[in-house]
Amino acid sequence: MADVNLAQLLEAGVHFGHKAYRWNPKMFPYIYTERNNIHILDLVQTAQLLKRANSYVAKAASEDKTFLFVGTKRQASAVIAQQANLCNSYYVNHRWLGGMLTNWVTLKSRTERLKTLEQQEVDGVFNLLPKKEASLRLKELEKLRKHLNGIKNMSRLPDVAIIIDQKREMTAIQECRKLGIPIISILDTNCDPDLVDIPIPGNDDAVRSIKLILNSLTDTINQNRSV
Amino acid sequence: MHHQFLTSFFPLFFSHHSSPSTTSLQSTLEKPKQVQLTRFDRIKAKYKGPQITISPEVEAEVGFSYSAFDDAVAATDYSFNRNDVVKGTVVQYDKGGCIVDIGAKASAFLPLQEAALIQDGVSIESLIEIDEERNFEIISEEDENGQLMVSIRRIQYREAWDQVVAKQETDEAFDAECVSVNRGGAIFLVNGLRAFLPGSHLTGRLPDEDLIGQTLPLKFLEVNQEENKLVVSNRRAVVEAQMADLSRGDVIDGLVKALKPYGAFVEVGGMSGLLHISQISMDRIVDLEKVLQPGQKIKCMIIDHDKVNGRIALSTKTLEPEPGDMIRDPERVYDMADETARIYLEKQEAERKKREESAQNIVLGLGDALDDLGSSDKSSDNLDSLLS
Repeated sequence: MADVNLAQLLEAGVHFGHKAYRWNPKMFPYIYTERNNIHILDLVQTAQLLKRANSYVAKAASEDKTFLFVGTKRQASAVIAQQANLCNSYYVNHRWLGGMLTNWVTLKSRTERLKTLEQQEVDGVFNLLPKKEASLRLKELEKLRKHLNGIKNMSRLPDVAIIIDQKREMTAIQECRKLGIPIISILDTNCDPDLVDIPIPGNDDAVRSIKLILNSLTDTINQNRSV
Repeated sequence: MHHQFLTSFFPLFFSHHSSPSTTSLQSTLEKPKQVQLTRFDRIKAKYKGPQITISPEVEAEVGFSYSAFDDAVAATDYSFNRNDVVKGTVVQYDKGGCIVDIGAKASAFLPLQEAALIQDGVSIESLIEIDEERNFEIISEEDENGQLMVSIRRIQYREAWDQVVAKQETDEAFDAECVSVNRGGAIFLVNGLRAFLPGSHLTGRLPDEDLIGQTLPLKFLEVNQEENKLVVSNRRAVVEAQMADLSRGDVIDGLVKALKPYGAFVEVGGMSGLLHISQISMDRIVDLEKVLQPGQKIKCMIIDHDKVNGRIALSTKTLEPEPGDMIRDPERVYDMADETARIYLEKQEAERKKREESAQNIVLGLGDALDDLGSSDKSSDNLDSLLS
């Protein structure tokens, strides 16, 4: 269980919320105070809820459940890919395609296509094709790779979804809710805690904050996975 | 309709009176040190929704207490405004720039164009390293996600101008490289700033494509930070020893700088002179471009010079062995220039003497008449004294 202490949380800026006028009043219980016109989140609750999320994740990992990390914003993109690879989980770090989970059947055919193209690239088929065809296929490969690289090897729907920016990934959240997949999410002061099963109130805009929280979760996953 | 509006307005007004904030307002007048309640605190005081009560066990579970958190929050001072200079660390590269952690709520974005003063079109990786800590200036307000844009270029720009102003104080010559050429002159890079060198201040050559990439000594002509004007001169930096020696009648080499309808500007010994169209050849010149081209080296004679204003009047007419040679065969003119000049000057001298003699004759003749008039003092013997 990777624990975080107050100093780490403060240094990463996890307690910073959005400007006061931009809040969602449903987040009221998680807000500590307002300073310089921005809301400050209650770090005691954040730490407690992070602990709760960690224990949930630990239990799920020990039961061999699969995780899906979702984070498409600029700051989160690179961090998500890196952390998900560390714990052998799936991730989506570019635009969440509509129906990725609810229309999984169709998406699966695209991942198959990605795999065939990658195989062709390895085999050197592109060198045999005429220039135009080869370049068209390469472009297609790049595009598929960009969107689907994280869920290339996903054979069935994930068991737990970990989402970074709730407002931005609203489609992902709605799909998960429809399918009954439990959601763990970092909630900022402008988010809705009712949509999420396990909230972690925190700053979702700073790279350090996202990294700290994700690090804690992925460490837990790694530790508790039954090898 | 209006009635409804008024009645709906009134209850608000009254409830405001009955709230506890007015009593606290009175108390603030007595105790000026009382903390102002923020909007959030007022909402908290009146909140009737579901509350989350934190028990002391949670604090033990989590490892820190509310008081420690409270102290930390009170100690933080959060202010990130436009034009602030803040310290930041580069966290990761992104498309079109990189992401910088400046301690604000959201990580700031540094666009590629704002990363350096000199834009070479290189990638962001070569300009700045991950985990590098330096000063950034905030150049935008928060957008809808709370993200700010930062810049290094603005800071470097100000520093460059400070250095340039300091250099101007000492007025020493410095070297700079040419980056581009335009119709009026050339652009040089001085401390990362673009400085303009007017074509008339460039010695020994024309501002053409070959100049790009060359390094020349320069001195400042005009340094104006408010209007973003930076003008330099090559001429001022280059030592001009020939200036003192020039006099009327000298034959010297010149470089044609520019053509105008009324003549050509020729650079002679560092100074700019005018070769008027009427002074180029004995014959009438129809098309100036056929005879002279910018960048052409010619020989010409100085017929007048104004050292005070720095102006020289030039002529090639006097160098023509035969009238009209400049149009027909300029090379012949240049080859025989010294010879022709010598002949011309001798002729001038001879003419001058003849004029003097004829003037003397006239005065002599007058002298006889004057003698008849009876002024015998003015005799022909004193001709020299009369003429001098």
